[in-house]
Amino acid sequence: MAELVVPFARREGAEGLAKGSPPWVLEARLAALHRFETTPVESSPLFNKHVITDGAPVTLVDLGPVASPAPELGTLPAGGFSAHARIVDGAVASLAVSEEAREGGLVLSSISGALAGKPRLAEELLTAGATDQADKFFQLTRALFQDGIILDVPAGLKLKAPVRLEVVQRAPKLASFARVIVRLAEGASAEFLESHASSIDAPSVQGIGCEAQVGDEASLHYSAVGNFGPQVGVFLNRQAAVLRRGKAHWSLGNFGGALTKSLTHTKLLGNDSRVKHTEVVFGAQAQKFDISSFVTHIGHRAQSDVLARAALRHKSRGNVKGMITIDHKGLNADSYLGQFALLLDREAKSVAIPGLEIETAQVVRAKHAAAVQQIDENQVFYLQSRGVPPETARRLIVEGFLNPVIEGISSEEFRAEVHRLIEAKWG
Amino acid sequence: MAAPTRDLPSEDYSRYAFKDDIVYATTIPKGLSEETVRSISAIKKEPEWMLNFRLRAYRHFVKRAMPNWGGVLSNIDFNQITYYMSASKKEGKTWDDVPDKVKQTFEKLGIPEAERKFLAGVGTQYDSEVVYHSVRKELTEKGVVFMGTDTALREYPELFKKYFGTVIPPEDNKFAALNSAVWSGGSFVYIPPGVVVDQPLQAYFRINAEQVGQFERTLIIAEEGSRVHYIEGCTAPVYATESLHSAVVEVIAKKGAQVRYTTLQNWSKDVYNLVTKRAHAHAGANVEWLDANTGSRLTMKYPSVYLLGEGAKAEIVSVAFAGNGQHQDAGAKAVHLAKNTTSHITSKSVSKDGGRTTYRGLLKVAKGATGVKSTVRCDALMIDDRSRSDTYPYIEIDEEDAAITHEATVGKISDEMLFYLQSRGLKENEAMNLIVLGFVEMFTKELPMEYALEFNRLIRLEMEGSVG
Repeated sequence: MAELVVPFARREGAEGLAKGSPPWVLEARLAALHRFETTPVESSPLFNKHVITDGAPVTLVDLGPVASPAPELGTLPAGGFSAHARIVDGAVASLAVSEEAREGGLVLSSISGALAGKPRLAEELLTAGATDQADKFFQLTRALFQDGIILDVPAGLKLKAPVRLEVVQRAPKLASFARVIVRLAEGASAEFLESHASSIDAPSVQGIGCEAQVGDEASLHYSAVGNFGPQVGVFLNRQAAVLRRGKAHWSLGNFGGALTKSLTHTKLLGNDSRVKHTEVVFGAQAQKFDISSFVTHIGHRAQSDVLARAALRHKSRGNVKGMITIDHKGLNADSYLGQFALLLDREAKSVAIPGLEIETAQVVRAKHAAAVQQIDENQVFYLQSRGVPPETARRLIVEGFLNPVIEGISSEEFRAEVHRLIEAKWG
Repeated sequence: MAAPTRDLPSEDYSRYAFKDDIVYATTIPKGLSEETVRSISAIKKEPEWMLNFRLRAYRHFVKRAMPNWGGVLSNIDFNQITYYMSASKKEGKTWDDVPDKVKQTFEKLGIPEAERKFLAGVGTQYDSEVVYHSVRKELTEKGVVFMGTDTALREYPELFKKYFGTVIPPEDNKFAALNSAVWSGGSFVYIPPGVVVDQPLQAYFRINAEQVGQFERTLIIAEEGSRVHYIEGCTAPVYATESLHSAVVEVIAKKGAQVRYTTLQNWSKDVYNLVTKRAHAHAGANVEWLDANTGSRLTMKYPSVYLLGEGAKAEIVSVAFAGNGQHQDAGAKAVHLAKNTTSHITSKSVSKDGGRTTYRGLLKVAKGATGVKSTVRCDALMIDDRSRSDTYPYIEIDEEDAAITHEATVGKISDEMLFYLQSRGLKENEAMNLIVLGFVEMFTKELPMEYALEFNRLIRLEMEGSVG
């Protein structure tokens, strides 16, 4: 297993970033740094022959500076959002909440702002929430985050409009880390839209760690579309703990970056909790994607539905790894894990590992499926016979392949963006 | 009126659990060292190249780390194992030459009857050396060689040296290295070009002495256009402390050859069964592994086929049954290295009473291997809540032009099925037996009749006490 040298992961960096914060912040950062140092690139021996670490320009970048203080709540940009936040190079650049949401009790804050103004809430949220400590890069984000946001949705508040988060990279040769903390109390519901973009084409590193708590009967729909520049190393970790009758829904799109290492882990803790996790990858040129989708069933009658689809062009590589664990306490689980890859060129490579670990026989369903395929030339022929040029036919087939994942994205704007990104891959 | 009940024939299972007091003719002290390896080679009066092969393997074994995946291997103490032991110094040419004690053991296992009925040859292994071996006359006339591996090294030195260790080099994994260093016994099969062996060749292996590791080495060479079916079955007496069985099986199927290798593994529940099995399938060849694991404490075994020539085919059927204290970490590997090759992998596993079954499979399509088709299907049945089932399929595709599908399901016996069968007059345990036997039937139906009967009996035995 290849190691990954991360020269900016240093104690001084964590100390510098913790300056001015309560002492527990530095302790937590150093603990995370220690775990980063002691955790292998791939924590599961099941996958350690199938981890991609090359291609990320981590040795060419330095740790980003201490974030300047986040601004006060500003005016909401157009688009009909409940709340809006913008993170630029790891620092919170703007925050806004609609009047309706504010009246309903929605709290949106930067982490730096919460540490200064609501230290108790900040401590509670920053130290809890981690459902899976095993991911090395999650620890890196927890050690070296510059800032991040906290979204706290109180009990019973059902946000009518989505919450929008833009993560933007502008500074070259820097490593930026941000945390996103979302808490939905009992009966709350929210739709979260996260987008990634770079305005530069230079080596850089971006880490985002998202920790979500979905309370009893709460519902979180989290969509994220990543399109960082072609020289970016992207480290994503998303975790959700879902309580009784709660529902989490991930709609994730991975398009950009030189190397994207992503791990999403949902823990279904409560009885009758549910997760739907759909993920799409479209790689081209020499892009590399190392995508893990994990679900752990602990509550009774929990349901999981995980579907990952990867289309790979040119010399791109895609490893899609999945694991559904049904704990011995997780009686009557109903789970499905599907992983599919479409190889579009001779040089493209794919690894699919859909794993199951089942500790109880009281299972309603535990099923997985995987397939690696190429474009069916019969379909191309059929479309050609209907007057569609062959290249267009191939695009249509790829869109059709990815569509089951894309259609799960609730925002029309995001779906349009995904279609635009897919279109751009053919350029 | 009460529903009529039927009694399934009761079986006497005591024959699977016995131990004879044998006086071993040659035994070397417990423990593993370069000296052990040299002694084994010296006792066998082996040529120098084999000693060097063993030493190379031993040195790799010492260097190589224990696997950090699969089952719990930390209880194996390599220094508490006897690496060589033989009950008689010479292979029995006829049944009369076989020592009486050994004969009685095999009688309990039903081997002589099996031979009388329809089996082409018998190669039985008592501990570490083949003690009895016969090949029917007509096979000998066709040029078929079926003998103990040690004898083959003496009688066919050139053929042996050409193929031995070419499919599984000692450096392949830690346990292949161990076997290569201390191997003893096993079967050697050579089928000349175009020869079709209609009846299955059979070999029976047993571990008898407590803490005797058994490191047999089997090599099958099927020349162009030939056909053979080889069957091995294992039963072992029950002991309290660990035993280690670490075999290496190499199969070479030349152009257009057809090889089927059937294994019924029923080691006693204290045995570590860590086996490397691999076949090379050349152009147009067809290799089938039928592999059933019901015994042992821990089995780690992934029969594999390297599809080296265009149009080669692989079929792997793996059946595992894990009861209390057992972990069956089984699976299959198909490595596609040539064009238009196909593979089908089917895995069926049953776990109960806290047993654990794991399917671990690899499907690899190398660059340039276009037109590959492969399907993998794994089904796991869990009888109770204390059991565990894992599925780890690895699918590595380096070639665009491949069609690969994998499917798996894990489930329990449905109440509807049980209810239906009970409404037809079956008792609950009979109904469960029937469902489990049906679940693995696609394996059983491929077995010769005697094996199918024994396998069904074993499954029923394993299922005892599942209800209530």
